[in-house]
Amino acid sequence: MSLGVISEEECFGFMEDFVQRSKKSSEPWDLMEHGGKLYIYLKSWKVLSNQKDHSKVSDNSSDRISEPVETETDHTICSDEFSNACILFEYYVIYSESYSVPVLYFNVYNSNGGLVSLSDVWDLVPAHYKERLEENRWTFITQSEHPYLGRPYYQLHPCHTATLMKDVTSMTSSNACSNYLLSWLSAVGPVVLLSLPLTLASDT
Amino acid sequence: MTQESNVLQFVPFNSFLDGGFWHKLSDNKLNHYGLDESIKPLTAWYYNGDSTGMPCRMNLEYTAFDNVGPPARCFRAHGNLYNKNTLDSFKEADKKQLLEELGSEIWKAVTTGSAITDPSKLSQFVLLAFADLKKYHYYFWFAFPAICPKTDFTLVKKPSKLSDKFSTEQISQLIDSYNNFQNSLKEYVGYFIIVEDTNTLIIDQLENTQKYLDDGKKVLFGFADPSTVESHPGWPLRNYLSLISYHWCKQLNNKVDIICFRYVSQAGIHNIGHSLYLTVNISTMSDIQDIPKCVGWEKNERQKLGPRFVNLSSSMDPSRLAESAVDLNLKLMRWRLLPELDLDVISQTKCLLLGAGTLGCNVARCLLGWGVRNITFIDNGRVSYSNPVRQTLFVFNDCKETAGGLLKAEAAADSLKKIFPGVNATGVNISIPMPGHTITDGAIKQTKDDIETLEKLVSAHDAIFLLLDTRESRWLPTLMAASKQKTVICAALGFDTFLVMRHGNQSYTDTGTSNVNIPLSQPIPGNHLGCYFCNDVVAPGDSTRDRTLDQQCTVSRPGMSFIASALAVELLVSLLQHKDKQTAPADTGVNDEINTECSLGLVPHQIRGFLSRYQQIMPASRAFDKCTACSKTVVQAYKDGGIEFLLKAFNEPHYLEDLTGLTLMHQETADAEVWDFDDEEEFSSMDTQ
Ligand SMILES: [Zn+2]
Repeated sequence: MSLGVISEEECFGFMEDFVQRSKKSSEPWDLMEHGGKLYIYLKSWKVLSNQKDHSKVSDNSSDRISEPVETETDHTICSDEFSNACILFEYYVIYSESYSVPVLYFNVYNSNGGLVSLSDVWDLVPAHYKERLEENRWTFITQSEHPYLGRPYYQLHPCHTATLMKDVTSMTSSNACSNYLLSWLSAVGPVVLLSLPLTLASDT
Repeated sequence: MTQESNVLQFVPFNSFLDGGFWHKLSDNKLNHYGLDESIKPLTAWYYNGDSTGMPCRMNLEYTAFDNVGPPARCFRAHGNLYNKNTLDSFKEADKKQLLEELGSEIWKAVTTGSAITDPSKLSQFVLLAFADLKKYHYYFWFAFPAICPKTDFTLVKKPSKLSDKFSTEQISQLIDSYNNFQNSLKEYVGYFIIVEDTNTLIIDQLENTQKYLDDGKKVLFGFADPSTVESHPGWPLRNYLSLISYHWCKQLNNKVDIICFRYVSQAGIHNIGHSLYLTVNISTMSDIQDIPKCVGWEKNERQKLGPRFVNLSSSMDPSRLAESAVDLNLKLMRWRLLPELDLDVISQTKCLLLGAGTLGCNVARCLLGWGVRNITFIDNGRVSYSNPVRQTLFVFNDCKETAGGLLKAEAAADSLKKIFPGVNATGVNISIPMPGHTITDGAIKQTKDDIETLEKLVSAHDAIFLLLDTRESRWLPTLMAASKQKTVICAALGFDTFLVMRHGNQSYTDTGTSNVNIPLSQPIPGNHLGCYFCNDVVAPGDSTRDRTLDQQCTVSRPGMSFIASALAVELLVSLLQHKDKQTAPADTGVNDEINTECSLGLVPHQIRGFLSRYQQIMPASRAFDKCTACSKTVVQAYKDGGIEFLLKAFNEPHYLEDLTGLTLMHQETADAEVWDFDDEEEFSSMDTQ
């Protein structure tokens, strides 16, 4: 691990531990299996509080079909202005044999199943992480096919993961928190709006 | 509380689909359903653990088509998919009937009591859909049928919080009880009862309600509430109240206590205190003979009752996918490394490639990499057996396809589209007339047509790449591009030397442009730079006539074309990124200068490479006022004389030299040997293939 890389077996172990830890949190990850390979995933819905963000991801293109509107109004529908737009973040962590590190795949969807564009996603990244986004080359993102689902996903490119983790693991080697995935996701997650609950780090 | 305000109102479901759902639907439509429009079962799920502010969601994902059940701690809803074959049948579907069909099924589950043993029958939905798999357009509309009582359900008093109704101990006991109850079942159930039994709160299945009521126990009706609104319960309560009213109205004395069970766990702390506690007035529904009224079509994004639409071509159409992936790579370069990079100006530049040989093929591929979307090839040759190994857009089959091989220009364009379907590539098969190559009378019409085509193409493009076989074939496009003030990038190969240059961009309107004196210490502005022919003191002639075969097709080291092509494209891109565009002054790189006007760095006039020494230099030279291709005299003569002028230039050996004054100059120069030819001669006779 001193080189920042891990074996598949080690990675699967970290995945199991990670999922176990996350069970106690509000956003539990799931452990999955594909052809004998383990991977983990999380679906996380987030509300867009900001009106600007809201308009960005809402799709007005249904205007193209005019429809007879149901005439009867239902006054038992709660009419509160409560139509906050909400988007879905889908994250996968899959082990890459060629890089010997875990790889993060993600997509962001509107409620209609349409993809939110990467630049719109990045507009949602909190300001204090944006700086990091600008300067850190290890957050390089490409679009590639999900190895198991065969659909396009954004991918945090693994080429810098080992370099990053070499630093991180040497720094925290004495620390009780020794889950590679946890250290790695805490470092790179925020730039793709993945924040891990602090409780994950506790070894209790 | 007025009569009006105590009517119980419900927070409707918002359907939420992910990309996986549409992928699976498309897959099923293609491989299983075909034109079969019959109802297909779906499974969706909802959740009662969202924090305040989240919409009341009904989720459908990849697994909706398989009966795998909801994720942990979530609740099942059954759906009927009506997948229509055409947009018209989607529009014309009888929405009222669809709703009533499912409504009557729910009503049947209520009246027969089957919803008591399996309460998930209360949570059902309709999905009316049309998938246009050619365009990856999806039209859809959800309905969550809710049975309406004869008179609205009303609240006996304002809703209270569970934490106001129960003590802390009771609440933590209720949490344990809930977990024990749900975990004892095969799958979490969305409807249950809470019974107080000697100071403890028991959670039990709905089917035991009758027993508790008969025992005189107080029964609270609980349901997993997907609403996060502080004052209002979610949609599942509607059919639940109908079920309760139908079966137990009398025993409950027309009044029922409801717990809208909301269960949030955060940082290891479990909380249900924010659940709502409602007391609701109900009236019997067991006397209803017909099927009661039903509501429930979902509102769209604009809060109107109407269908929704999503265009997934960017994530599902393979060619769009390639396009967005290419764009993404370029955007990342901008986002991460060069914030000032103007990608639009590059992608919008229409490029005309004269020559579809080694240089043409490589230049085109490199342009694709930069996101250029409009590429036109001009060539008059066919793909021959020697081509594919050096000319990267061709394969062996292109040579044997038709007699003599495919037309190069067209084959190159087709190949480019195979590499990237998003490109607008065209191949035009014309020959470019050359000075010194006499046009016979029989060929005049064809020549005129070719010239006209070339003129139109030069006008229609922004950047002209001169990648032709012979020096003299570059003359006409150089002249045309100069007269139309197009950007010209010229590349030429020797055996182990190359030249890549941009032509100067003279305005020709001011008098004596090229004679303006610019201090030698200053870089030469782009509108004073020379062209490929400016360094020549002889007009282009028939350079192939007196040569042997190996001289005609100058053989270069195979790597040269890659180097020169790449530099040609990068030079164009640098020029486009320069603040002054075509008039960007020529950087020569002599003073370690840094070009602050261009985010990509220096913008040279010429790049001359010497592969034997692995060396490159970046000289710059001024436009020559007696140039046979770009001087004001020639450009003006072309503008005035048009085709007649061109024919003279092609047919009369010394016409251009006489016109520009080169002849005179030669006569004045007694001793031609004093001319310093050094590299120039090497380059002026250098050809590509
Ligand atoms: Zn010139």
